[in-house]
Amino acid sequence: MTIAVILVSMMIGKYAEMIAITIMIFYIYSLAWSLVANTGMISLGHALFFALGSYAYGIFSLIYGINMISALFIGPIIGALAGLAVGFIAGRLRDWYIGMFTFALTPAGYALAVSDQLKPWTGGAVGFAPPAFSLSMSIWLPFSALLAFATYMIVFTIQNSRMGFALSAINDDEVAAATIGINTRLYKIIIFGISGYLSALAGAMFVSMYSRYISPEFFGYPDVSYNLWPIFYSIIGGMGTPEGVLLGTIILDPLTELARTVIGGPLALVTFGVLLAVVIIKTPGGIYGYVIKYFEAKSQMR
Amino acid sequence: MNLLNVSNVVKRFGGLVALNGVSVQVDRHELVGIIGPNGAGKTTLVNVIMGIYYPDSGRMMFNGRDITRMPPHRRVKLGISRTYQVPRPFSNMRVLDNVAVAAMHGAKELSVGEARGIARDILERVRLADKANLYPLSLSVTELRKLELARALAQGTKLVFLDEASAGLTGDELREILSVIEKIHDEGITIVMIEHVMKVIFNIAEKIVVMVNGEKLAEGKPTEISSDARVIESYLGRRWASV
Ligand SMILES: Nc1ncnc2c1ncn2[C@@H]1O[C@H](COP(=O)(O)OP(=O)(O)OP(=O)(O)O)[C@@H](O)[C@H]1O
Ligand SMILES: [Mg+2]
Repeated sequence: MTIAVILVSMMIGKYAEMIAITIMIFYIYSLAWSLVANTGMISLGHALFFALGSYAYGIFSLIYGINMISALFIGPIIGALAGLAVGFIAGRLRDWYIGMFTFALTPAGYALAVSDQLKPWTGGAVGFAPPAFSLSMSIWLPFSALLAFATYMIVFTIQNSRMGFALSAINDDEVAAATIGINTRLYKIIIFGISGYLSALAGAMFVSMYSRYISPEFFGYPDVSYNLWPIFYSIIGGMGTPEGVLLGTIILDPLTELARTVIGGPLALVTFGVLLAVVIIKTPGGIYGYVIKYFEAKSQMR
Repeated sequence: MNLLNVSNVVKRFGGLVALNGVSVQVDRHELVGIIGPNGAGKTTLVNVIMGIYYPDSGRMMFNGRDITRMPPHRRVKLGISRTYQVPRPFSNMRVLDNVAVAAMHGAKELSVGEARGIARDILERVRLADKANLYPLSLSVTELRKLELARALAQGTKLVFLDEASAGLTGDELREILSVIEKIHDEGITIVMIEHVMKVIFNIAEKIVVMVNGEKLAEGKPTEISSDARVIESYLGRRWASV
């Protein structure tokens, strides 16, 4: 009896730890998406970078035998390069054309991954399992938390730098930004590159510490949810601040896990879609924006 | 050598010819006024000089460099800045940071700290310092015009275009802004002022350019312009009485 209780509580503990790790991973992914969104570019195809990161990690470590920790950081460079290329084009587009363009890239990524030519590396439609992650499982959570914190620090540093001011100005009024001396196209390319790297890092962490399997659906095709999670988490939490994105991820990521197992993925997306609509109508600054306003109002009443 | 040399610039919007072969020279340290009725093409001229659109034909030289097809941000680095006739503040930044971001990315690249220091000084000069921590949304129209002026001055450029920077200002406020502009000019900055209020510009400008219908109608010292028969007939006559 006691043994059974201990076993069950260990299982629950393990499960909670797993969820906590996915929160760290999707916090990084959502922060990466919101960097670009806060520069006035709404990407609907960030799964491209996420998937490139997971494939690069898997291929580097399995086929080229690169040390797994190194592969985790080197692999995402592929995501950064893809980000620079996408930013080069997206930076010349306006508004929803950016969404269409980025969205259209994800089936292309899928098609490449399942193509016969690349099958020796990608495993085709079946995908492949990378070697077991070399870090001891007991430190996965602190390790992923450290990477999430590092990403937060990167975003915080960017936001408070010359570049952050430039990005914020571009987000607000691109013409006015250009006429005060900001190289709008260059900054858009750079931020897409950084976002591509961080999204790919999240993808690499996802396969090394969570799924332990690499599948072409990571490209967000045909399952679009890989594109949509960071958007939901960021917007519902409050994409303007890293704190808002964290709040969104902490609230919604466990729900995603729950919904996936209980009601199935597609229904979970509908739920999030409705939630997003409600939040945007009620509080455009997301849940975090609402909380801040609430406390400001309260402190003023005293 | 002129600081700015605009020659035969043409700009069309569809069938409308907004600039029909306009040539303007601005000398170093000059204070030039551009006047003209609504729709004359004054703002379009600033937009073309700033690089918001490229001219259909014609050429522009600044400080010996051809800027005709240079992107706007590079023109700022060379030393040109402008204000917008309809204020265009960054609504998600406080007043201080609106000015700081302009200082940061202006003629010289400055750090956030340096830029905020300059922004504070300039807000002081245009008497907007008490609004530094507000968002532009809560500023009045005249305060927004001062913010435009502050941003253009914060860029540390050689040449500043002021597109109706004093519109809507009256009495003491008008005098204050004009004295700021004159001081900036005395410090060696070249200024081109676009104005509707004639009295303002005739008192301080060294040269006046009159634009009508996308063309330069006349150019000269204020005394010459106010006695130019064509100007009086086509423009000043009507307006002079009302001012
Ligand atoms: N982006 C644009 N697209 C189409 N037409 C334009 C554009 N900008 C200006 N115009 C037109 O060009 C002409 C010149 O406009 P402009 O704004 O340069 O005049 P202005 O001399 O600044 O007038 P105001 O005194 O009213 O500010 C006007 O007929 C205007 O409608
Ligand atoms: Mg105008």
